[in-house]
Parts: sequence; structure tokens; C-alpha cells
Amino acid sequence: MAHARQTIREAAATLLTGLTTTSTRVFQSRMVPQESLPCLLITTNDEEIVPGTIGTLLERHLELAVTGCAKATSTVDDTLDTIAAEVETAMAGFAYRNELTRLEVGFDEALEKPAGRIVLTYRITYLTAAGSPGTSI
Amino acid sequence: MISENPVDFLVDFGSTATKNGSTSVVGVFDKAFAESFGMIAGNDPVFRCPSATGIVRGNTLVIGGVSYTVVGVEADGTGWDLCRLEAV
Repeated sequence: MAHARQTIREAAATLLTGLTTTSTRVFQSRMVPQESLPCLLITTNDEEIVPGTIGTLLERHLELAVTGCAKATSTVDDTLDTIAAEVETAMAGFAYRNELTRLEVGFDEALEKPAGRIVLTYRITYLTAAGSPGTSI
Repeated sequence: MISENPVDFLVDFGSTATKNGSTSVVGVFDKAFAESFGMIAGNDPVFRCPSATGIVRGNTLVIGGVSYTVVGVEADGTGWDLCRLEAV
């Protein structure tokens, strides 16, 4: 049985596949080869869980990170901003309740082709019953 | 500390590069694994050569058919330079 976290991550990956800039280069992993840029990495990170007041319901607040990566050319800022615009537009149609809470930008010259990234952090809110983490209510 | 002339090592470990499209230079080319942001896997190529080779920032080097721009030159104080490369 898949945890609801996995279901949510996979749903986000499906929704964000096919965007103009990143196309099918959407990965549910934490490491990709440089040849894959520009791409999106989708990860589900920390989660805050609040015991509900009704029965065994748990109110869960999941941090979903959508990271756009691109080679650092002279137009990398434009590319990263375009990725963010495409992701934000698509996420408006996400089936789970979500709020964009943070946007971070960075550049790194560690590789033979410097890279830039933009991280869009979403707070996903969903409910499960205690002991049934695979079924969101 | 080694007592041999470091240039002797170029005979065994050296690679020939073409500098600025015309000059052949010899150094030790290393293209080790590196990662960016902890999520993008790639390489961090460097070229070590005698300082007398005269490579400076902005030079181009073609090594193994791949063009690189020298984005930094770090002298190690023993007469050798470590040239940091960026693929063109």
C-alpha cells in the first residue's frame, strides 16, 4: 500500500509533466544527471501532523518541493522564472489543497556547466485516519 | 616529497590540449564526478600544467574534442597551475 505522500507526489508529477520548458523531464528523485536539464524534481519532504478533534482523523501538512533546474546561461534567470510561472499555473489545478509558501533561487558553479535552480515549496493539506496513511479523506 | 621533475609525469599522465585554437599544450586532465545543489550529477573538469604553459582565464582549451573555457587559474606555488574548466 502506498502512503498518501507517494500518491500526492505522483499526482504532482503527472500534473507537471508536459510543461513547455521542462517537457517530460520530470523526476521524482533527488539526483539527476546534468544532461537532463532543464528539468523538474519533485520531492515530498517534512510533514506536520495535527491530531484532529473528530475520531481518529489526522490533519496533515505536507511540504511538497518542486525544483526547476537549468543550465546557467546568460538567460538562466528568464528560464527559471518561466519554469516557476509554468509550475504555478499548473498547480492551480492540483487536486489536493495546496498553498505556495516559498520560492528560492540559487546558482552553483561546481559543474562543467554551471546550473541554476528555483525551488517552489507547496504546503499540501490532507486528512487521513490514524493507522490508514494510504487513504486520504 | 617527490624529487623527480614534475614535468616527467606528463609523459605518462599528460593529455594534449589545443589552446586558443592553435597552440598545443600538455597537462594532466581530470574530469572527476561532482554535483550541484546535491541534486544535479555531473563533472568538475580541471587541467593541471606547468605555469610556464601560460594559460590564463578566458583561454579556450580543446581536450578530447571537447571545448572548454578556462574560468580560473590557481597557481599552487610550485610552478604548476590548476586550471578550472567550463564546457562551452
